[in-house]
Amino acid sequence: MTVYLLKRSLTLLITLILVSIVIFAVLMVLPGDPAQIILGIHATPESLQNLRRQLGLDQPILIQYLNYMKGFFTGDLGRSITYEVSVASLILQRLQVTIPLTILSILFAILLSIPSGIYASLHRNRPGDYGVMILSQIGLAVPAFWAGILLILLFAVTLHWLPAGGFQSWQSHPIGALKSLLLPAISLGFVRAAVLARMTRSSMLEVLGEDFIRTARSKGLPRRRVVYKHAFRNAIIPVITLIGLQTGDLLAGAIIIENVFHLPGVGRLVFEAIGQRDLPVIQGVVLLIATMIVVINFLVDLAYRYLDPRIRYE
Amino acid sequence: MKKWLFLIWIGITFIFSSTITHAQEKPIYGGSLTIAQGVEPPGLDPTTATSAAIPRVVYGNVLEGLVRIDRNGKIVPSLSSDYKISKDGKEYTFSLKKGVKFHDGKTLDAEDVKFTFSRLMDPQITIPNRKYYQDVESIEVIDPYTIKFKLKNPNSMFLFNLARPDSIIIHSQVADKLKTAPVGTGPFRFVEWVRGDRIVLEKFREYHRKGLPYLDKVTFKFIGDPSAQIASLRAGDIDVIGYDVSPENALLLEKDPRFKVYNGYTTTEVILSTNNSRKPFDDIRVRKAMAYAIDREALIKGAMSGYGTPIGSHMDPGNPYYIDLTKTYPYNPEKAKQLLSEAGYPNGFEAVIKLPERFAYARRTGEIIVDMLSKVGIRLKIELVEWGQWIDRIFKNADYDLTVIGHAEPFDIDIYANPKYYFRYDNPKFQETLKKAETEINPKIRKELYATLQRMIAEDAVNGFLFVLPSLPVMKKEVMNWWKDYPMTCQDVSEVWIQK
Repeated sequence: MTVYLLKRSLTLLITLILVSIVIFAVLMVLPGDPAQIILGIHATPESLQNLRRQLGLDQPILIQYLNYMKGFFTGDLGRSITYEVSVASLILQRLQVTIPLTILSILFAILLSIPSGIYASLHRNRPGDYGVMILSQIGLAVPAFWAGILLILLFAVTLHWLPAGGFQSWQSHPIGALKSLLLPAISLGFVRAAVLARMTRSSMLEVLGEDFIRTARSKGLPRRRVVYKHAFRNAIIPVITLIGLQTGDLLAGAIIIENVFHLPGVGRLVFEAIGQRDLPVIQGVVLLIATMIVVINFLVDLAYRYLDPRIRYE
Repeated sequence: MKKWLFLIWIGITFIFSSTITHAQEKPIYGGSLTIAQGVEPPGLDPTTATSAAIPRVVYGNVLEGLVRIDRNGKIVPSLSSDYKISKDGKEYTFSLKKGVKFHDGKTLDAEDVKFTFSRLMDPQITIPNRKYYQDVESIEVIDPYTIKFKLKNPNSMFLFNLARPDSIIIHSQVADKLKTAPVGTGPFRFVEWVRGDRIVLEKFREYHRKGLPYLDKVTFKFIGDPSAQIASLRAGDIDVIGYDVSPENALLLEKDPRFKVYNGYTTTEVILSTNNSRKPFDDIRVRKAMAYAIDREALIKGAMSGYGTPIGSHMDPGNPYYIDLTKTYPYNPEKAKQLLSEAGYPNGFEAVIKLPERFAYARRTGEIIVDMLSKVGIRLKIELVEWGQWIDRIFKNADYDLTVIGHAEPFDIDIYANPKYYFRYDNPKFQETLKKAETEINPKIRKELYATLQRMIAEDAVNGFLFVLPSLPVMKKEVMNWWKDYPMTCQDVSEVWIQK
């Protein structure tokens, strides 16, 4: 296990270094100068030079990169060029939206998809199965942002039950914060649920056809036990893989939903930072997302082991 | 007799109804206003960055200058009670209002003003618009409430420049907090900024304009997506969308009895910027042909749902020096074709129009122009450009043929005097006349000179002069006294109130 953990940490380190080099390179190739964007189109060359010096943009690119990485490994992500506050505090603030949103939408997706996937597999080719499959087909076809707009029209504009967007802080309005995350979580979760339900169904069908299920049944075990203890536990592994992938995807890919619901999440932070060429913020967010994806994959691996003790890590 | 009675009855009803409406018009104190804004300001210091999102939050609300532009476009005193300009136009003496307090309780005096302008002229500090103060020779504190600016030469733009957000008076002890938590003299004090979400201001009880403001609390909410702004307005989460409502949304909301829309003007001239140094645009006949080929009325209808005011030169109709030049090159495609053949392009030519992808008005205007110009044989290829790239490639390096963009800065005709500006327009006569206009003390002659300047660039067809963007603020019916026109880049809510 120790060797495994060491190996994993090394992977993380290499991933982060590669990712950081790629972002740096991309931002250098992209035209657009942060100083010009801040000072606007009428700025004099002297002011621009002045500001570039203050921001450290006048140094050679390699030095800029090394300085950044030095800071990164000592826990200092630098200061945002546009906001003039530390990148770490900006990201921490935004994570208060992104992490709960990710958890809520994944929870919603799991609660909706796994029972319906199991149900569909147990009622194969019967009306219940068709119902689940049609719904999931719709879920696959509907883009999350469009579902979001429909939900806003119904619950915010017409019924006034939930806000049309925005976010209240957890500290001052915990209920308000939860309320403002509900609609975006549902719109993100619905699409995810569609994929998960299909995966659960097909995986269950496969396992239900296995010999050991027949054995369990012929042993006279109650149906519940056969389904949940024997079939489900074996069928869930590919589903867990998918959940892991989707969680990583949600952390990085909620930009559009964050825009529709104007949530101050990590996605919008990086989106706006790209427009402003706010290098420290872009760098910080992308590295953070890369870290989280590696960590999630690690957790997924641990979950495999828990579900199937035969799996060993070397 | 009956007739008389009838008239008296009408008279009485009129008096009653007018007192009733008058009573309704009386401002009500209290309440909280939430304003949606598309772009979040990058820092709150309007002196060190030029994003229009900054003054739209702080200027006139938190921070104020010696003078300001009122809702009618006039320069009026703000922190000064009075000002005198010497006969030779080189000395400006301001008397400061007495008893003006900063939000932290400090009293404003002439030393703050001196500090402000010394800072603006300090080469160590990055000030993008230092040119506004380049003619200042010295600043003298005469007594705690009187300050005198001496200029190297008369500058007719000086007073206007003092009314820009760049010239806000700064509290010397907390100047370093200007970017993150500004302390000013305005009707509202800064409370908090939740980055990515909102900025909250609250009423400043010791504000120097007595009786103002009416509102207790003002929140600026940053909602980037236009349809999300509209949904929030409809859901009742926000009260006003101050800027950048798309024309088709304005049209839609105008029909909704819960909301009202003002169709005013702004200072943003939308132009078909033309690279005057590139072939074939260096030929005035080609530029004139393009001017004849553009039908402004149809363009405004098509791109802006009919909102927006046509212009014939680079000045907005709210400017006191504005003259109407929209008839310089009236729509005439035949004439355009003739001019093109004269210039040696009987079959037209091909060129690229680079449109800033970020701005819907620019994209749509560009698309319609492509169609209009194709009718006289000019075949344009559209290239969408990301904003950072637009600044870099087009604005800085003039790497373009044509583009469409709105110039938001008020009173910026001087850009045509800079041959390095991205239009690459080099006309010594224009440069000379501008200098004269800027140093002319006699207001009548000055006005004439600015008219000549407008005419010069209109006749030279330097760019395609299209229209000024409409203001189009959309708000709940209950929001009263919002500015209809935007003669300055700001969202001044000092006089706004909410009807109960």
